[in-house]
Amino acid sequence: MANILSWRRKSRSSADDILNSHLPDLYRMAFRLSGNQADSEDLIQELAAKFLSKPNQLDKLDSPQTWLKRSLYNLFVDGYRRTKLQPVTFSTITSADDTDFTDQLVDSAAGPADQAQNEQLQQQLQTALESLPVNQRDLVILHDVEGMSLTELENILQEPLGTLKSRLHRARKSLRFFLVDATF
Amino acid sequence: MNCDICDNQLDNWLDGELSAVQLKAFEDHLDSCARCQAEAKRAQRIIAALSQLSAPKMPEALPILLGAPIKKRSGALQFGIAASLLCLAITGALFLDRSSNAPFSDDDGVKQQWVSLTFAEAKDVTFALSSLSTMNDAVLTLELPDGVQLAGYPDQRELRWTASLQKGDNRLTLPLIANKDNLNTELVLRIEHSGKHQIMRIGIQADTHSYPAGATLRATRGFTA
Repeated sequence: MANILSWRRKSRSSADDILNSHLPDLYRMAFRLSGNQADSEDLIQELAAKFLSKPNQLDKLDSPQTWLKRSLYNLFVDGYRRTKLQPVTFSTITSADDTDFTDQLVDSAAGPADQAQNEQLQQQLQTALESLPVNQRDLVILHDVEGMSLTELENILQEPLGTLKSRLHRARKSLRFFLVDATF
Repeated sequence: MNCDICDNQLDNWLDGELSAVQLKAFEDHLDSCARCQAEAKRAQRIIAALSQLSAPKMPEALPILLGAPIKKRSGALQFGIAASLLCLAITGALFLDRSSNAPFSDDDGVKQQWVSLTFAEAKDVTFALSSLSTMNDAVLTLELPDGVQLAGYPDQRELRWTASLQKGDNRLTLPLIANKDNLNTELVLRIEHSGKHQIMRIGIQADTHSYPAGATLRATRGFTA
């Protein structure tokens, strides 16, 4: 009995270590998806409860990170979007001039004087993201914002690569259209 | 390569997935086509900006909290979105008690407020709901007019949820976006408790001429639906 308890403690400790090492990335992903800190923390808590309840299964995972991200995404879709989000339609904003949004985008050499402007541009970008259909928005967030590869997302989103590529193409095109028409 | 093929390969180019041969053909086309070059440049800038979108750091206490039982927040009242959004706090006092016995009136008492939004930008609008007593399980219903949406909920015209209002000020924060100009409309917040209700109307108005230089909607009193 003592050996079993010791083994369980060891497994739990190992699971804690794995979880903690991925926690900052998972929290950021949760925030990107849910859009607020309270829900992000709830999501992470639920994920941790799910993950730590079966520490002995961790050894069977080839990639805990992929499992964690897939589980986090599923928790978000099942537990949060179902109750909070509705299907999104694309909304168009009529352009009033020919200002190109991207002319004002990120300049890696920007100084403090540019920070306020960048903040405003980020806000416009956020609004554009929120105007995408939810499955396109998720894909852009996970691929272009979080930097996950489409191959990785094929596993996480459980959809064929071709479907994801088509969706990404539509999403990026919509973003370009949306941001060109938005005027600053 | 023509423009259609270029458009089809744009994502692979952005993701660095073109072969050497494809890459050369793609870039040769960009050199010869100003329209595709501009589109590719814009796409590249947007992807760069997306990769730099801000996100808050994980709270330091979070790893400690993970050992505790899961306790969800009253998320229905928390419509907060990205912290980088500008915050526009407009406080409207909603006095729920206009009789000596009940927490609020049993007539169709209407409170009118005005808020100022910025065209196509999400802003947190905060309302103070002042109650003279604690009200458990109050039912709040928010009706959104055409042209105004909750950030992240573009198709949601009505939201209904249950919340407990504490005695004193209760703050309700809504991330609102005006997605039309020339707005002259209102959103309606209805609060029900113990068979009584209170209605709060929030007027919204847009000024076409201020767009795009600011597009700030005017806040005016005396709105009539």
